[in-house]
Amino acid sequence: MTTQSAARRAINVELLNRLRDVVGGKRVSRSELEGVAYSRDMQTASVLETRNGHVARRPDFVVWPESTEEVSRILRLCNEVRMPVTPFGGGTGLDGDAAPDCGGVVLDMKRMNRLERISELSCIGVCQPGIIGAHLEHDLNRQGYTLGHFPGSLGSSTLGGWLSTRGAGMAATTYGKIEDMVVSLQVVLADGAVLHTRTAPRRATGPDFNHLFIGSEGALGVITRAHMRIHLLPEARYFRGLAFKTLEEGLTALRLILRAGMKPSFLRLADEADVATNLKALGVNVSGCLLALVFDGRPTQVDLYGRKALEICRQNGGRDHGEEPARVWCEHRYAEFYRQSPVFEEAGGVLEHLEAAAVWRDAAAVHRAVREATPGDVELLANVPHAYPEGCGFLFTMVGKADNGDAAAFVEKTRNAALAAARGAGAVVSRSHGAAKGRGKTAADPAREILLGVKKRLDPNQILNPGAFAVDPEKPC
Amino acid sequence: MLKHFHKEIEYCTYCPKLCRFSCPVGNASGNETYTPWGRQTLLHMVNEGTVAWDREVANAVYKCTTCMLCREYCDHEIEVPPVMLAARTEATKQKIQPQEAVEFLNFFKEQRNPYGDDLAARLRTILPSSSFNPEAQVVYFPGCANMYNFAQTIKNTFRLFEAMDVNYVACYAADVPCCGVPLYDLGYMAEFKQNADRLAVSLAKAKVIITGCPSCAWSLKVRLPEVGVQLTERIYHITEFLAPLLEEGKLPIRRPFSRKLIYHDPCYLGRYLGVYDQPRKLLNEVCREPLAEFSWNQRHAYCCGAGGGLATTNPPMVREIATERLREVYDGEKKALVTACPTCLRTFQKADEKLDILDVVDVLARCI
Repeated sequence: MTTQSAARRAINVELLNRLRDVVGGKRVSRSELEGVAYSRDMQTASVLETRNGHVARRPDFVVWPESTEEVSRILRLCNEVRMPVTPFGGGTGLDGDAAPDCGGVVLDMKRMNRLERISELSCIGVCQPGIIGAHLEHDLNRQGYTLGHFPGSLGSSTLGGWLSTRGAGMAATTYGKIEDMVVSLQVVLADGAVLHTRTAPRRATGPDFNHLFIGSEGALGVITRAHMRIHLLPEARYFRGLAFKTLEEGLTALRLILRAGMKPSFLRLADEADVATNLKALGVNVSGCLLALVFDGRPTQVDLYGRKALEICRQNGGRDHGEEPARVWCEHRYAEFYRQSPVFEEAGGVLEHLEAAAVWRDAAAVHRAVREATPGDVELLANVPHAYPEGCGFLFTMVGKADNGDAAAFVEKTRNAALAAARGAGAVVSRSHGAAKGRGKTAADPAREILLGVKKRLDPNQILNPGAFAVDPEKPC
Repeated sequence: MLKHFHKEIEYCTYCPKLCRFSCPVGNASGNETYTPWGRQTLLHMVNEGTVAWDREVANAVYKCTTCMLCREYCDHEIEVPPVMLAARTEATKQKIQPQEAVEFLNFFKEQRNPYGDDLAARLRTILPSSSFNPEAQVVYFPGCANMYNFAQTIKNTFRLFEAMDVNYVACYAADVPCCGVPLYDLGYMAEFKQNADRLAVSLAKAKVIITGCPSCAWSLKVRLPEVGVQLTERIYHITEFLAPLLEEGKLPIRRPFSRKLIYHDPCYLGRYLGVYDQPRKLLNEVCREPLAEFSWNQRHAYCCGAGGGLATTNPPMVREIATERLREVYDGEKKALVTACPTCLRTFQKADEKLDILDVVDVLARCI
């Protein structure tokens, strides 16, 4: 036993008793078993560790708070004894941000899981952060509203997770990314202080503090309540599937649709490989690339947008395949995520998602560069899941097999080559959900010093998710 | 361990938790370990030798209501409950099952049912002797949950038979009162088999069996054959038996049911037996007001929480799950809850003693 572990053990005994005072005995666990479920998120490296039977890290405790006050008291205790705290939502991120790299307390927020109320007058939903996306959307739908956030992980990820990772959903083109949906936040800081940002539609009173915490991976504070913009459920939905010979043609059509002021709620511009694999598996039979467009709104509005979009697509080489391809894809838009299981079940099989964003000028080049950088024995599927007047995002899915057995090295090499190619072609590599971990470890990032200053001010003892955002990336713990 | 479930365990372990929201235990606890993904990952780790197959892991595999809702959201149609049930069998063999399960078995062995009363004697006080006929070929099997908790529902069932001129159904004498579901759910396969063998004798003459409980219907129909006991193939839940008679116009409705009802789909009646329409048809026929539905209904209905032995191993969690399910009942206009399973009924009663809760049979009986 090392001196350090003995000291930590002594702290743990004391802390356990004090945590039990806060939440009761049943909502704090120190079982080693929890290490299996709480040691990782869905980062490929962690999935591979699990496949090999490794539990790379374990929290000392898992705690399930039920109120802002409990979160505040827990953070105060942990701050006092310098115990790391990692907030945890669904654990479905792809960057390892919810993994308790330094052990300590995992703060599982899923018992704070209510849509507290809806303000119909202001179109605001007041939500607790641990609510799972599918439940939140269901509860809103029952009252005639939608949040408009549909990540692939809707059935497992939480609102707090979306906020902490600055996530994008499949309807981001219309409803925006998660940061666009936030009106105000309640955040508990490392010392237990509770910060409320103001609930107002827009402000001109200095920097927007919401954006300090959105995307911070819980490294600057723990979000305990969010006022979210919500929208009336659309009255009508328009579907259209257009095939293009090349991705460039599809990108041009999509850019012109957005420039004309029309925002599809859901869209997918699938490259040839994506069409031949993911969409074909759904029964969509088109050749080339496919632009699936879904417009939501009033009947006359969606009809008008649909007709105009169709016209733009036709003028740019699009072949109309009617409603079916878009409808089928939209109804089964989560289906592709099931593919992960059979891939990993096979010895050496790996699957990795990468996300990159680029302005329209560079978009086609980014797609080309990633494709060229990907080895021939790796299946690369790409699609544009959301787009804006100035550019678009790409979701790349790489499926391969490490024949020599070192799957982790294979993934890292393949991924890094693709990321370098994307960056080289002008993309911002955002990964899928959040980047604080990456940012903390990228010394060349000019924003790093500013962020570190903020971190030191808000969390001087560096207890909050130190693995995700470390002052010294080489020694996060 | 559980090599024949390799695919199920591995697929869930590598899945990005796509069914996470559907797990009643995961939702009630907020604990990742108690989700389908969490429990299957534990079994994967046991197979990898990283985690010891001990009492604590066994405890986790008991935290599943076997509701099968997760399968509804799985494109691979992975069924998690059979894996959990097989793991429980392993746990009992190695005597690492939860203490509550140990105590349950002792109790069951003494009483031959999960409730601790002489249910056969109790049944004879509920129905007149004319309702019993050991030679009958069409037998009503009330289920021990009904016998212990819902005498009136059993009486009402026979009132309905009488009103519909169904004079060929006799009540099972309940000499072996339990279908064995609780034993199966807790992993006691040897004891389940013994119980099944006894049932085979006492139900040998039955050519048609009608049950008052969906779990009994599933157990007699599917689980008994798993241990080599084949009863008649014609086994029906009471709603399956009554619905065709209703369509034939045999149910004399004298007064409609006037209160607003909301229907809860029991897991074993719905997802296991595939019976969704019959209870609704019966209720819609007699109710003045349209039947209200939970927003998660039919294939997507959430569990009451009491399935899979959880009522034995973790009653507080059952209560939490049931309370969550009931939230929608309180929304909007006042409603009574109706369902078609005595276990669901009792579970909801325990969660809210003031709530008006009825069996489909009780609703029908009030209208004749």
